[in-house]
Amino acid sequence: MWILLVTILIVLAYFKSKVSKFVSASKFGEHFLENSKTLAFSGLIFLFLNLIFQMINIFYSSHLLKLIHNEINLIFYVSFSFLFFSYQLGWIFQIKRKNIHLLMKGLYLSIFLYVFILTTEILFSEQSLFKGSELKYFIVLTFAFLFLFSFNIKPWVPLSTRTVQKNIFWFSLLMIGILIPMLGIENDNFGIYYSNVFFLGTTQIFAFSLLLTYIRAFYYTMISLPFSRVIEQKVYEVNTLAYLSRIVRNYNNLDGVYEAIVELSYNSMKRSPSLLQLYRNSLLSGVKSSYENEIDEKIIEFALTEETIQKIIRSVERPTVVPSLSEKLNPDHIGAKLIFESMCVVPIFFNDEITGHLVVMNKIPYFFDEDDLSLLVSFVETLEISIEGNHLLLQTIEKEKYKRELLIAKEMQNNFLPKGIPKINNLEIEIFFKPSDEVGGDFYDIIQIGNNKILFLIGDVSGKGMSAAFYMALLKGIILASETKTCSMFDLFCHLNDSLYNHIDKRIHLTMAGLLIDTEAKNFEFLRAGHLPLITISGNSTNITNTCGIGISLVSSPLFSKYLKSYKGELHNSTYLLLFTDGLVEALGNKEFNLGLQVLKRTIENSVYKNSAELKEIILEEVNKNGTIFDDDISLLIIRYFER
Amino acid sequence: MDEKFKVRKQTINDVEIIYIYGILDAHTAPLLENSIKETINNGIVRIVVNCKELEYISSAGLGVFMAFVEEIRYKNGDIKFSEMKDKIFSIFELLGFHLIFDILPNDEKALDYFKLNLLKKNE
Repeated sequence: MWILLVTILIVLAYFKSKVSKFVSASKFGEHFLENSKTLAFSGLIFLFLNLIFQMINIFYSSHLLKLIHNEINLIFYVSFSFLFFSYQLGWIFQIKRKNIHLLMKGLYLSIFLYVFILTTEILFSEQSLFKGSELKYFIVLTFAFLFLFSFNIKPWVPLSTRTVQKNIFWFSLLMIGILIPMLGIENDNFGIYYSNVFFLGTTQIFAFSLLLTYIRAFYYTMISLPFSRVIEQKVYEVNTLAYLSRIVRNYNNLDGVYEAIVELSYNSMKRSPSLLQLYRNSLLSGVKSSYENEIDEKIIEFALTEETIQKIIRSVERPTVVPSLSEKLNPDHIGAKLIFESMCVVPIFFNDEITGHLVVMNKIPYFFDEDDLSLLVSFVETLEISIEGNHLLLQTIEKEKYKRELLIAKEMQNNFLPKGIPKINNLEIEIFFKPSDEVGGDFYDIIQIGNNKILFLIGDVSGKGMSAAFYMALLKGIILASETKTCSMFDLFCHLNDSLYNHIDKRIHLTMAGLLIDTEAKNFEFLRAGHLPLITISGNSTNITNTCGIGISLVSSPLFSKYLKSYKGELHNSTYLLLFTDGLVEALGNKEFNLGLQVLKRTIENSVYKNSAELKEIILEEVNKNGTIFDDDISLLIIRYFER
Repeated sequence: MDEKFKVRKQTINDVEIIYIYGILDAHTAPLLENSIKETINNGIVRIVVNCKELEYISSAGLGVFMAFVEEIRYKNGDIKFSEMKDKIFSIFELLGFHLIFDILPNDEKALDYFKLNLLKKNE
C-alpha cells in the first residue's frame, strides 16, 4: 500500500515540477512561499480542529469522541503528509540538476544510518529502534534525508525580493509553530491512526525534515533580510544596465530613450524627482521629467524656473553632487523658499559640447553619494551613445537623400548630352562618355548644320562633381541660346568667353575644342580654347594638331580672340579624327597628359582596326590595361570620314 | 597639414618669392590660396612663384592664380613663374597660361622683370 502511495506522490510531484520546471534561483523564493502558504493553511486547520477536540474533551469526555478525533487526525495527517511530500518532491525535481550532489549526500547518509542501526541491533539486539519492516523505515529515512538535502537554501534566499523574504520569514516561523506540536503527538495505540505505525512514523519523520527545512529558511531569511534592500538595489542596478543596453540601440526613437533615462534615474535614486533638460544653441530645447506626486512636480518646476538653480545646473561641466543647496547658497537669496536640498547633476555631451543635463533632486540634504552619481553617469553615457547613433542615422538618411538628388542631377545632365548619334553620309561616329562621380564637368555636343556640315564640340569644366556639373549646364544653356547654325565656330567661342568671363568664379575655367566637318568640301576646321589637341589619322600617319587658344573665361574677350587660332585640314578616305578630354590622357599617362598623349598616339599607330568602333575598343582596352582607376571624367569622340 | 604639398615664402624688397613643393590639386589648392591671400594682405602684390619642386598641377591649382591675378594687376603688381618643369609648362601652355603669365627661367630674371616694371595686363 505504501509503495502505491509513494508512487502516486512521486508522479504528482513530477507533474508539479513540470509546471514550473525552469524556476530560476531568484524566482524560487516565490515558489517556496506559495507552497508554504498551502501547508501553513492546512496545518492551521489541523491544529485548530485538534484544539476544538481538546476543549470538548475537557467538558465532555467520551470514547467515541476520542475515536472521531483520532480518525480526523488521521485524515489530516495523511493529507498533510501528501501535501508536503509532493511539495518536497516537487522541489527536488525542480532543482535536481543543480544540487544533485546534495541529494547524493542525503542518500549516502541514510545508507550509513541504516547500516549503523542494523549494526547496533545486531550488537545489542535488545530493542529495535524501529518497529515493523526495516526496509520501510529505510525508505522513509532515505526520503527524509533526501528532502533535507534536496535543495541548498542559501543561494535563493538573498536573491529573492525583500517582500518574498519577509513573507518567507513569517511563514517559516508559522510553519515551525505548526510542525513542533505535530511532532509532539503521542502514540497511544488507540484507533486506526495511532495503531498504524507507518502513518505516524512517516508523518513525523517527514514533519521533522520539513521542520528542519523551515528552521533553515527562517535562519537564512533572518540573516539576509537586513541586507535585502542593498542587494535589491544592486540587482535593480544590474537589471537597469541590462535594460539600458537594450534601449541604447533605439536610435530612431531618441525621445523614448530620454524618457527611459529619467524614469530609470527616478527609480534608481529611491524615487527622487528626475529632470532631463536639453539645449540647442545654448537655449533650453526640451525637457523630460519623472516624478510621482504634486510635491515632486513642484520640485521639478522650481528647478526649471528658479534662475539661481538653473545657473548652478548649467554651469556643471562634469558629474557633480550638490549635497546641500542651503549651505551652498546665500540664505537671503532663495534659501527661504528652497523646496529641495540635494541634487546630482550630470552633463550630457555630444561632439564635445554640452547638449543637456540630467538632474536628480531630493528634499533631504546629503541624500546622494558617489555611487548614485556613478550610476547616473552610466545612464548618461548610454544616452550619449544613443544620441550619437541617432545622429549617424539621421546623417545616413540625409546622405541617402543627397544620393537620390545626385542621381536626378545625373539624369538631368544626361539630358544635356545629344540623344543618339546623327546619321551623316560618309561619317561614322563613336562616343564614349563616363563621368567620374554621379555628375561631372565633361561635355560634348553634336550640331548638324545643313546636310553636309556637322559641328562637334567637346569641353571640360575645371574641377569635378556638382560645381563642375552646374557650369557645364550653364555652358549648354549658352550654346543653346547661340546661333550655332549660322555663326562661325570662332564667333561661337568668343561669344562663350564673353558670356562667362567675369560672370563665374575666377577659379573656374572651361576648356573647349570645336571640330567642324564639311563632307562635301572634304575639309575640317579645328579650334581649341585651352583644350587638348586633335588627333588625326590618315593613312599611316597619326598627327597631333595643336593650335593656339586660351581657356574660356580666363581672360577678357579681346585677349581671348587675339590668341584664338583655327586649323584647317583636308579629309581623305578613312580619316579618323579624335576629340577627347584630359581624363582619357591622364588615365593613359598616369596623370601626365603629355605622356598620355604619346601613349594614345603609339596605341593607335600600333593597332589594326577597321572602323571607329574597333578603334574605340582598342583605346578603352589600353585605358583599362593601365589599371588606372577612373578618377576623372572621361570623354572620347571618334569620327571617321570615308568615301563609298 | 597635408604633406603632399608645401609652401615656403621669401621676401626680397617688394617681391615675394613663393616656393611651392609637391602636388597642387583641388585638395591642396586652398593652402596656396591662403598663402597668396596672406601675401596680398601684407601689401605685397609682386609675386614670383617658383615651380622648381612642383610635381603636378591640376585645373583647380591653376584656378588659384586666376583668382588673384586680376586684383594684383589692378594694384600694379603681377604673378610671374620661374624654374618651371617641362611637364608643368606643357599644362600651362595647353590652357594658354603662358600667354597670360610671364614664365621665366629663374627667380633673378623674374626680379629683373619687376625691376624694369614689365607687367602683363589683363586686357
